[in-house]
Amino acid sequence: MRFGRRTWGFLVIAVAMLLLYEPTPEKYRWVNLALAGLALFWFIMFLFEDLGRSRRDQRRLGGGPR
Amino acid sequence: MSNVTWVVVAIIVVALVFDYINGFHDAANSIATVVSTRVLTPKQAVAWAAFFNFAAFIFFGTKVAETIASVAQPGTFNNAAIFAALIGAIVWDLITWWTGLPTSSSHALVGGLAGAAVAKVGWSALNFAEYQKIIVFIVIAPVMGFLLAFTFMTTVYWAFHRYRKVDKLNRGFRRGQLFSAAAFSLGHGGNDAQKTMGVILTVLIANGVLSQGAPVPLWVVLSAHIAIGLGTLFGGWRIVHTMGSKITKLQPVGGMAAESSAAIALGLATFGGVPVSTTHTISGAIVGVGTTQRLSAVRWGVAGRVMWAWLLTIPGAFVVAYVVYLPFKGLT
Repeated sequence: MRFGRRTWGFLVIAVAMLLLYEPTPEKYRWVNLALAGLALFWFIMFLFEDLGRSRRDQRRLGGGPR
Repeated sequence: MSNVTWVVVAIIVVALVFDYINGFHDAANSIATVVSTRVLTPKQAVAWAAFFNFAAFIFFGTKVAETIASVAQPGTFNNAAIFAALIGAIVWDLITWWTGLPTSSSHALVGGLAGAAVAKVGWSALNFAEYQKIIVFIVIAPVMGFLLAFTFMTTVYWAFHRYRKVDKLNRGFRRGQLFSAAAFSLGHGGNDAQKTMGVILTVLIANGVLSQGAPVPLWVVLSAHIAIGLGTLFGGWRIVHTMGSKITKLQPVGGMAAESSAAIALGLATFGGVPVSTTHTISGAIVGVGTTQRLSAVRWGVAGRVMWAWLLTIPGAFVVAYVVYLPFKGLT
Protein backbone atom coordinates (compact mmCIF):
# COMPACT_ATOMS: atom_id res chain seq x y z
CA MET A 1 0.00 0.00 0.00
CA ARG A 2 1.48 3.34 -1.08
CA PHE A 3 0.48 6.71 0.33
CA GLY A 4 0.37 9.75 -1.94
CA ARG A 5 2.82 12.62 -1.76
CA ARG A 6 0.09 14.96 -0.51
CA THR A 7 -0.64 12.62 2.38
CA TRP A 8 3.01 12.61 3.44
CA GLY A 9 3.23 16.36 2.87
CA PHE A 10 0.48 17.11 5.38
CA LEU A 11 2.04 14.76 7.93
CA VAL A 12 5.38 16.54 7.51
CA ILE A 13 3.69 19.93 8.04
CA ALA A 14 1.92 18.68 11.19
CA VAL A 15 5.19 17.31 12.60
CA ALA A 16 7.05 20.53 11.70
CA MET A 17 4.45 22.65 13.50
CA LEU A 18 4.72 20.44 16.59
CA LEU A 19 8.53 20.60 16.48
CA LEU A 20 8.29 24.39 16.39
CA TYR A 21 6.02 24.37 19.46
CA GLU A 22 8.91 24.64 21.92
CA PRO A 23 10.84 27.50 20.24
CA THR A 24 7.62 29.47 19.64
CA PRO A 25 6.97 32.11 22.33
CA GLU A 26 4.25 30.92 24.71
CA LYS A 27 1.80 33.60 23.63
CA TYR A 28 1.71 32.24 20.06
CA ARG A 29 1.83 28.48 20.68
CA TRP A 30 -1.88 28.08 20.00
CA VAL A 31 -1.07 28.90 16.36
CA ASN A 32 1.26 25.88 16.15
CA LEU A 33 -1.38 23.61 17.66
CA ALA A 34 -4.14 24.93 15.40
CA LEU A 35 -2.01 24.50 12.26
CA ALA A 36 -0.78 21.05 13.34
CA GLY A 37 -4.42 20.06 13.96
CA LEU A 38 -5.49 21.30 10.54
CA ALA A 39 -2.58 19.52 8.82
CA LEU A 40 -3.38 16.29 10.71
CA PHE A 41 -7.01 16.58 9.64
CA TRP A 42 -5.95 16.73 5.97
CA PHE A 43 -3.41 13.93 6.52
CA ILE A 44 -6.21 11.68 7.84
CA MET A 45 -8.55 12.65 4.99
CA PHE A 46 -5.92 11.84 2.36
CA LEU A 47 -5.01 8.65 4.22
CA PHE A 48 -8.63 7.46 3.90
CA GLU A 49 -8.64 8.47 0.24
CA ASP A 50 -5.41 6.53 -0.38
CA LEU A 51 -6.78 3.47 1.45
CA GLY A 52 -10.04 3.64 -0.51
CA ARG A 53 -8.16 3.92 -3.79
CA SER A 54 -5.88 1.04 -2.89
CA ARG A 55 -8.89 -1.19 -2.04
CA ARG A 56 -10.62 -0.24 -5.29
CA ASP A 57 -7.47 -1.08 -7.26
CA GLN A 58 -7.12 -4.45 -5.53
CA ARG A 59 -10.79 -5.27 -6.20
CA ARG A 60 -10.40 -4.30 -9.84
CA LEU A 61 -7.31 -6.48 -10.24
CA GLY A 62 -8.96 -9.41 -8.41
CA GLY A 63 -12.26 -9.21 -10.28
CA GLY A 64 -10.89 -8.50 -13.74
CA PRO A 65 -11.50 -10.67 -16.84
CA ARG A 66 -10.01 -14.20 -16.66
CA MET B 1 17.91 73.40 12.78
CA SER B 2 20.81 71.64 14.49
CA ASN B 3 23.02 69.09 12.74
CA VAL B 4 21.53 66.24 14.74
CA THR B 5 18.03 67.15 13.60
CA TRP B 6 19.11 67.19 9.97
CA VAL B 7 20.60 63.73 10.40
CA VAL B 8 17.37 62.54 12.01
CA VAL B 9 15.32 63.97 9.13
CA ALA B 10 17.66 62.40 6.58
CA ILE B 11 17.37 58.95 8.20
CA ILE B 12 13.58 59.26 8.41
CA VAL B 13 13.57 60.07 4.69
CA VAL B 14 15.71 56.96 3.99
CA ALA B 15 13.27 54.92 6.13
CA LEU B 16 10.34 56.24 4.09
CA VAL B 17 12.25 55.44 0.89
CA PHE B 18 12.60 51.88 2.21
CA ASP B 19 8.85 51.86 2.86
CA TYR B 20 8.22 53.14 -0.66
CA ILE B 21 10.48 50.41 -2.08
CA ASN B 22 8.68 47.89 0.11
CA GLY B 23 5.39 48.92 -1.49
CA PHE B 24 7.03 48.97 -4.93
CA HIS B 25 8.61 45.55 -4.35
CA ASP B 26 5.57 43.93 -2.73
CA ALA B 27 2.88 45.49 -4.94
CA ALA B 28 3.06 42.24 -6.85
CA ASN B 29 1.88 40.27 -3.82
CA SER B 30 -1.29 42.29 -3.48
CA ILE B 31 -2.25 42.41 -7.10
CA ALA B 32 -0.65 39.43 -8.84
CA THR B 33 -3.60 37.10 -8.35
CA VAL B 34 -6.23 39.74 -9.14
CA VAL B 35 -4.37 40.64 -12.35
CA SER B 36 -3.54 37.09 -13.42
CA THR B 37 -7.24 36.13 -13.13
CA ARG B 38 -8.11 39.31 -15.12
CA VAL B 39 -10.54 40.59 -12.51
CA LEU B 40 -8.86 44.01 -12.71
CA THR B 41 -6.50 45.61 -15.17
CA PRO B 42 -2.98 46.18 -13.81
CA LYS B 43 -3.65 49.93 -13.37
CA GLN B 44 -6.95 49.41 -11.55
CA ALA B 45 -5.42 46.72 -9.36
CA VAL B 46 -2.48 48.90 -8.39
CA ALA B 47 -4.77 51.81 -7.42
CA TRP B 48 -7.06 49.45 -5.49
CA ALA B 49 -4.15 47.94 -3.54
CA ALA B 50 -2.51 51.32 -2.88
CA PHE B 51 -5.73 52.72 -1.42
CA PHE B 52 -6.11 49.80 1.00
CA ASN B 53 -2.40 49.88 1.88
CA PHE B 54 -2.99 53.43 3.06
CA ALA B 55 -6.34 52.72 4.73
CA ALA B 56 -4.75 49.99 6.87
CA PHE B 57 -3.76 52.52 9.54
CA ILE B 58 -7.42 52.73 10.59
CA PHE B 59 -7.65 49.03 11.41
CA PHE B 60 -4.36 47.98 12.95
CA GLY B 61 -2.49 49.18 16.01
CA THR B 62 1.27 49.64 16.22
CA LYS B 63 2.35 46.39 17.89
CA VAL B 64 4.55 45.34 14.96
CA ALA B 65 6.32 48.74 15.08
CA GLU B 66 7.03 48.19 18.78
CA THR B 67 8.48 44.72 18.02
CA ILE B 68 10.79 46.19 15.36
CA ALA B 69 11.87 48.94 17.74
CA SER B 70 12.89 46.31 20.29
CA VAL B 71 14.91 43.85 18.13
CA ALA B 72 18.08 45.18 19.76
CA GLN B 73 18.84 46.02 23.37
CA PRO B 74 17.94 49.61 24.36
CA GLY B 75 20.72 52.06 23.53
CA THR B 76 22.24 49.87 20.77
CA PHE B 77 21.28 51.99 17.79
CA ASN B 78 22.72 55.34 16.87
CA ASN B 79 22.05 57.21 13.64
CA ALA B 80 24.88 55.50 11.74
CA ALA B 81 23.68 52.01 12.73
CA ILE B 82 20.11 52.74 11.68
CA PHE B 83 21.37 54.19 8.40
CA ALA B 84 23.50 51.07 7.79
CA ALA B 85 20.52 48.82 8.60
CA LEU B 86 18.31 50.65 6.12
CA ILE B 87 20.95 50.60 3.39
CA GLY B 88 21.44 46.86 3.99
CA ALA B 89 17.71 46.24 3.58
CA ILE B 90 17.31 48.56 0.57
CA VAL B 91 20.32 47.11 -1.29
CA TRP B 92 19.11 43.55 -0.70
CA ASP B 93 15.56 44.49 -1.78
CA LEU B 94 16.85 46.08 -4.98
CA ILE B 95 19.07 43.10 -5.79
CA THR B 96 16.16 40.67 -5.43
CA TRP B 97 13.76 43.02 -7.23
CA TRP B 98 16.21 43.24 -10.12
CA THR B 99 16.59 39.46 -10.28
CA GLY B 100 12.80 39.04 -10.07
CA LEU B 101 12.82 37.07 -6.83
CA PRO B 102 9.91 37.62 -4.45
CA THR B 103 11.89 37.83 -1.22
CA SER B 104 10.75 39.53 1.94
CA SER B 105 11.40 43.24 2.52
CA SER B 106 10.54 42.62 6.16
CA HIS B 107 13.23 40.03 6.63
CA ALA B 108 15.66 42.25 4.74
CA LEU B 109 14.95 44.96 7.34
CA VAL B 110 15.27 42.54 10.25
CA GLY B 111 18.55 41.22 8.79
CA GLY B 112 19.79 44.77 8.21
CA LEU B 113 19.00 45.82 11.79
CA ALA B 114 20.77 42.72 13.13
CA GLY B 115 23.84 43.31 10.92
CA ALA B 116 24.18 46.93 12.01
CA ALA B 117 23.63 46.11 15.70
CA VAL B 118 26.22 43.31 15.64
CA ALA B 119 28.73 45.51 13.75
CA LYS B 120 28.33 48.24 16.39
CA VAL B 121 28.12 46.31 19.66
CA GLY B 122 28.50 42.58 18.96
CA TRP B 123 26.09 39.65 19.22
CA SER B 124 25.04 40.67 22.74
CA ALA B 125 23.20 43.64 21.19
CA LEU B 126 20.48 41.41 19.76
CA ASN B 127 17.25 40.85 21.63
CA PHE B 128 17.07 37.11 20.94
CA ALA B 129 13.50 36.75 22.28
CA GLU B 130 12.23 39.07 19.54
CA TYR B 131 14.37 37.39 16.88
CA GLN B 132 13.11 33.99 18.01
CA LYS B 133 9.53 35.17 17.42
CA ILE B 134 10.40 36.56 13.99
CA ILE B 135 12.37 33.48 12.90
CA VAL B 136 9.70 31.00 14.03
CA PHE B 137 7.09 32.93 12.05
CA ILE B 138 9.27 32.73 8.92
CA VAL B 139 8.05 29.12 8.84
CA ILE B 140 4.62 29.56 10.42
CA ALA B 141 3.33 32.41 8.20
CA PRO B 142 3.63 30.62 4.82
CA VAL B 143 2.39 27.35 6.36
CA MET B 144 -0.65 29.20 7.70
CA GLY B 145 -1.27 30.73 4.25
CA PHE B 146 -0.84 27.29 2.65
CA LEU B 147 -3.18 25.39 5.00
CA LEU B 148 -5.90 28.07 5.05
CA ALA B 149 -5.86 28.40 1.24
CA PHE B 150 -5.94 24.62 0.79
CA THR B 151 -8.86 24.34 3.25
CA PHE B 152 -10.72 27.25 1.61
CA MET B 153 -10.34 25.78 -1.88
CA THR B 154 -11.31 22.25 -0.86
CA THR B 155 -14.37 23.55 1.00
CA VAL B 156 -15.42 25.52 -2.08
CA TYR B 157 -14.98 22.41 -4.27
CA TRP B 158 -17.07 20.32 -1.88
CA ALA B 159 -19.75 22.96 -1.58
CA PHE B 160 -20.13 23.70 -5.31
CA HIS B 161 -19.13 20.50 -7.14
CA ARG B 162 -22.75 19.80 -8.13
CA TYR B 163 -23.43 23.38 -9.14
CA ARG B 164 -23.82 23.57 -12.91
CA LYS B 165 -23.92 27.34 -13.54
CA VAL B 166 -20.17 27.69 -13.74
CA ASP B 167 -20.24 31.15 -15.38
CA LYS B 168 -22.44 32.56 -12.62
CA LEU B 169 -20.19 31.01 -10.02
CA ASN B 170 -17.08 32.46 -11.63
CA ARG B 171 -18.68 35.92 -11.73
CA GLY B 172 -19.35 35.63 -8.00
CA PHE B 173 -15.76 34.66 -7.26
CA ARG B 174 -14.42 37.43 -9.48
CA ARG B 175 -16.43 39.93 -7.45
CA GLY B 176 -15.28 38.25 -4.26
CA GLN B 177 -11.68 38.65 -5.38
CA LEU B 178 -12.06 42.42 -5.20
CA PHE B 179 -12.76 42.07 -1.48
CA SER B 180 -10.06 39.50 -0.89
CA ALA B 181 -7.49 41.69 -2.71
CA ALA B 182 -8.60 44.63 -0.55
CA ALA B 183 -8.30 42.53 2.62
CA PHE B 184 -4.83 41.35 1.62
CA SER B 185 -3.73 44.93 0.84
CA LEU B 186 -4.99 45.98 4.27
CA GLY B 187 -2.92 43.21 5.83
CA HIS B 188 0.10 44.16 3.74
CA GLY B 189 -0.19 47.85 4.63
CA GLY B 190 -0.84 47.04 8.28
CA ASN B 191 2.13 44.74 8.77
CA ASP B 192 4.71 46.27 6.42
CA ALA B 193 4.13 49.99 7.07
CA GLN B 194 4.56 49.27 10.75
CA LYS B 195 8.09 48.00 10.14
CA THR B 196 9.06 51.46 8.87
CA MET B 197 7.25 53.02 11.82
CA GLY B 198 9.42 50.80 14.04
CA VAL B 199 12.58 52.13 12.38
CA ILE B 200 11.45 55.76 12.69
CA LEU B 201 10.51 55.11 16.32
CA THR B 202 14.04 53.73 16.89
CA VAL B 203 15.58 56.87 15.32
CA LEU B 204 13.43 59.16 17.46
CA ILE B 205 14.28 57.22 20.63
CA ALA B 206 18.00 57.07 19.75
CA ASN B 207 18.06 60.87 19.38
CA GLY B 208 16.10 61.56 22.55
CA VAL B 209 13.10 62.96 20.69
CA LEU B 210 10.95 60.23 22.28
CA SER B 211 11.51 58.25 25.45
CA GLN B 212 11.91 54.44 25.46
CA GLY B 213 8.48 52.78 25.26
CA ALA B 214 6.75 55.89 23.89
CA PRO B 215 3.76 55.29 21.55
CA VAL B 216 4.18 55.82 17.80
CA PRO B 217 3.24 59.44 16.91
CA LEU B 218 0.36 59.88 14.43
CA TRP B 219 2.54 61.67 11.85
CA VAL B 220 4.83 58.63 11.78
CA VAL B 221 1.84 56.31 11.24
CA LEU B 222 0.42 58.44 8.43
CA SER B 223 3.73 59.06 6.63
CA ALA B 224 4.58 55.33 6.69
CA HIS B 225 1.20 54.41 5.20
CA ILE B 226 1.44 57.16 2.55
CA ALA B 227 4.94 55.96 1.54
CA ILE B 228 3.91 52.30 1.18
CA GLY B 229 0.73 53.31 -0.67
CA LEU B 230 2.74 55.39 -3.15
CA GLY B 231 5.25 52.55 -3.57
CA THR B 232 2.44 50.16 -4.42
CA LEU B 233 0.98 52.71 -6.85
CA PHE B 234 4.23 52.74 -8.80
CA GLY B 235 4.91 49.02 -8.17
CA GLY B 236 7.17 46.95 -10.34
CA TRP B 237 6.12 44.19 -12.68
CA ARG B 238 9.02 41.78 -12.57
CA ILE B 239 7.70 40.01 -9.49
CA VAL B 240 4.05 40.08 -10.56
CA HIS B 241 4.94 37.60 -13.22
CA THR B 242 6.61 35.16 -10.81
CA MET B 243 3.85 35.39 -8.21
CA GLY B 244 0.86 35.41 -10.49
CA SER B 245 1.64 32.79 -13.05
CA LYS B 246 4.94 31.05 -12.53
CA ILE B 247 4.17 29.28 -9.22
CA THR B 248 0.79 27.97 -10.37
CA LYS B 249 -1.99 29.03 -12.74
CA LEU B 250 -4.91 30.64 -10.92
CA GLN B 251 -8.67 30.86 -11.52
CA PRO B 252 -10.79 33.57 -9.80
CA VAL B 253 -11.78 31.14 -7.04
CA GLY B 254 -8.11 30.29 -6.47
CA GLY B 255 -7.12 33.96 -6.41
CA MET B 256 -9.84 34.68 -3.89
CA ALA B 257 -8.83 31.70 -1.73
CA ALA B 258 -5.15 32.67 -1.77
CA GLU B 259 -5.77 36.33 -0.94
CA SER B 260 -8.36 35.71 1.78
CA SER B 261 -6.18 33.10 3.46
CA ALA B 262 -3.10 35.30 3.30
CA ALA B 263 -5.16 38.25 4.61
CA ILE B 264 -6.31 36.19 7.62
CA ALA B 265 -2.73 35.08 8.33
CA LEU B 266 -1.39 38.64 8.03
CA GLY B 267 -4.21 40.08 10.15
CA LEU B 268 -3.57 37.57 12.94
CA ALA B 269 0.18 38.26 12.85
CA THR B 270 -0.32 42.03 12.84
CA PHE B 271 -2.71 41.97 15.79
CA GLY B 272 -0.22 39.73 17.59
CA GLY B 273 2.64 42.17 16.89
CA VAL B 274 4.65 39.73 14.74
CA PRO B 275 6.42 41.19 11.71
CA VAL B 276 5.86 38.56 9.02
CA SER B 277 6.58 38.50 5.35
CA THR B 278 3.62 39.28 3.11
CA THR B 279 5.58 37.65 0.27
CA HIS B 280 6.02 34.39 2.16
CA THR B 281 2.41 34.34 3.24
CA ILE B 282 0.87 34.87 -0.20
CA SER B 283 3.36 32.45 -1.80
CA GLY B 284 2.36 29.77 0.71
CA ALA B 285 -1.30 30.46 -0.04
CA ILE B 286 -0.78 30.25 -3.81
CA VAL B 287 1.01 26.91 -3.38
CA GLY B 288 -1.92 25.78 -1.18
CA VAL B 289 -4.35 26.59 -3.98
CA GLY B 290 -2.17 24.78 -6.54
CA THR B 291 -1.94 21.71 -4.30
CA THR B 292 -5.73 21.21 -4.34
CA GLN B 293 -5.52 20.41 -8.05
CA ARG B 294 -2.52 18.10 -7.92
CA LEU B 295 1.05 18.51 -6.74
CA SER B 296 2.30 18.77 -10.32
CA ALA B 297 0.17 21.95 -10.72
CA VAL B 298 2.77 23.70 -8.56
CA ARG B 299 5.99 24.51 -10.33
CA TRP B 300 8.24 23.27 -7.57
CA GLY B 301 11.38 24.46 -9.35
CA VAL B 302 10.18 28.07 -9.12
CA ALA B 303 8.89 27.56 -5.58
CA GLY B 304 12.30 26.11 -4.63
CA ARG B 305 14.16 29.07 -6.15
CA VAL B 306 11.92 31.41 -4.19
CA MET B 307 12.64 29.43 -1.03
CA TRP B 308 16.40 29.79 -1.50
CA ALA B 309 15.97 33.53 -1.88
CA TRP B 310 13.97 33.56 1.37
CA LEU B 311 16.66 31.67 3.24
CA LEU B 312 19.35 34.04 2.01
CA THR B 313 17.48 37.28 2.78
CA ILE B 314 18.30 37.73 6.48
CA PRO B 315 21.99 36.73 6.08
CA GLY B 316 22.29 38.80 2.86
CA ALA B 317 20.88 42.01 4.37
CA PHE B 318 22.86 41.29 7.56
CA VAL B 319 26.16 41.20 5.65
CA VAL B 320 25.39 44.38 3.62
CA ALA B 321 24.40 46.33 6.77
CA TYR B 322 27.43 45.00 8.66
CA VAL B 323 29.80 46.13 5.90
CA VAL B 324 28.06 49.53 5.52
CA TYR B 325 28.43 50.17 9.27
CA LEU B 326 32.16 49.32 9.42
CA PRO B 327 33.46 52.74 8.20
CA PHE B 328 31.30 54.47 10.84
CA LYS B 329 32.74 52.27 13.56
CA GLY B 330 36.03 54.14 13.48
CA LEU B 331 34.22 57.49 13.72
CA THR B 332 32.09 56.71 16.78
